[in-house]
Amino acid sequence: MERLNLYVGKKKVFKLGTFLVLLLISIIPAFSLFFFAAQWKMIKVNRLIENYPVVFNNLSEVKLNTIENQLETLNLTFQKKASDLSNINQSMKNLIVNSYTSSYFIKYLSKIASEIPNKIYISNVFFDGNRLYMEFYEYGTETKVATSTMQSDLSKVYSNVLVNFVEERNFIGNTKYFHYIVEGTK
Amino acid sequence: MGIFRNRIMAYNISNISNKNNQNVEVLSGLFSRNKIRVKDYFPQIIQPDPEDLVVVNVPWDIIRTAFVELPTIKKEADKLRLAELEIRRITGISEDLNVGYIPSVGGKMLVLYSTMADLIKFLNSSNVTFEPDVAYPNILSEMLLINKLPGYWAYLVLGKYTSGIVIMNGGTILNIRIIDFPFEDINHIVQEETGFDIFEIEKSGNEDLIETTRKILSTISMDISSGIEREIIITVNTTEVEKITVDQLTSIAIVSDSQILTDTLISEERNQSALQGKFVEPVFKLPIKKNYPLSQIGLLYRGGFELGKVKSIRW
Repeated sequence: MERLNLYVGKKKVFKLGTFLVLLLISIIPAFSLFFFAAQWKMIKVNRLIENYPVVFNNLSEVKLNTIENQLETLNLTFQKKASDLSNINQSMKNLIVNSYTSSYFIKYLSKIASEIPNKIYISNVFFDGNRLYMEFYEYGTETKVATSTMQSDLSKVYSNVLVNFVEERNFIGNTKYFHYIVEGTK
Repeated sequence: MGIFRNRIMAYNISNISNKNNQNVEVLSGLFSRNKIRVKDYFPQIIQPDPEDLVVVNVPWDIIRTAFVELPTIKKEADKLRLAELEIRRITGISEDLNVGYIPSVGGKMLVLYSTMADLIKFLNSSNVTFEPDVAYPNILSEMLLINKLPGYWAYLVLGKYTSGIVIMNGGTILNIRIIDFPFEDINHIVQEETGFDIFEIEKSGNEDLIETTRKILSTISMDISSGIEREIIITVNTTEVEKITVDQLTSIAIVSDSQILTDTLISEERNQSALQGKFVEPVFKLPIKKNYPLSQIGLLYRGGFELGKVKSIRW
């Protein structure tokens, strides 16, 4: 009884306004997704900028198509700076080592001379920046210079260190002198 | 804006034209959660919005009926098509037909049909030039609002312009008969005595006038009810789908716009009548304020069904 209808076949119509509103409603999800994506990107970019301030402070302009090249350049710049610094570091180190090695044997010998009661006379010292040659005599009743200790101490700075005990002779009374030769390269 | 709710326009077109120059009454309303909300009342014809759901009434003089046996088909459209073919076969009409049906007893359908030409002529005669969504018969629109109770019931519909008797068994329809109830005459008598018509008096709520009307009606009630009783008995006896007698009727519900008339008919003493004590008030499906004719509220209610399950969207 409820469904009885004595007029069939009327075409249902929409007004333009209604149609537009329905259209608007139907595209709202797409729009919201679009805005959400944009917002999400902003959040991500903000987090990147916060995490890598150095990179973004050195970028001249943030354009998506040039940013890769800019980053490459920036990376190379920093690499170059780093290598420059390590070069300088190396040369400084070399300078220090050079200045240290050029006089270390004298310092070492003078240290020994001040520690032992015997007198030491250096007869010949030769250092050309690479090769080291040193001859000295020790005067005393018995030798206080330990060749092995000397060799190991000098080996810390020089290489191919050879400490030779050449000869032992009587001088006056029971006083003897001991002849040593020290050789090495830097 | 009709996106989330559709306005329903109920056009009640009366046949008795040119009597007081208003033969079309329009009621607009909304239908939501099985409730009708009447928005506006227009005493003359207005053009509906293209998106409005337009419901018009159809008078019984252009409707023809037939009891037809139809096989059980689930699809509504196929059933209608079959009913139309059956009607064409029986009657030999080759014009455009509008066909509807109501289930009846014994696998039969009460098929109502009218030719498109008749319907359009009827609509045009009242300057209704737009297409209606739904066209619904007069008396059945009032019946829509009433709860159909089990048992054999006669529903006496006393409308302002059309009156009729519907015999039903529970929810199935057995017979419809249009009667010539002189509502206008009664109204005329009341108007001459009091200066107002019955509906105006009931709407005003004036106790004195209502009492006067009651008195007038009770003096002529014998006359009215004898006519009605005769019609009921004729209707019951001419019911052919299922043979019933007056004694089998559980009750006779009086569906009328006028509460005074209903009360008068119910309280009328009928000595030695078969219909003694059977007249009752109907049970409405939804609360109804009697400010507007029941037939129009029925049309609004019918329009509400057209909106489908999701009431706001229809295609």
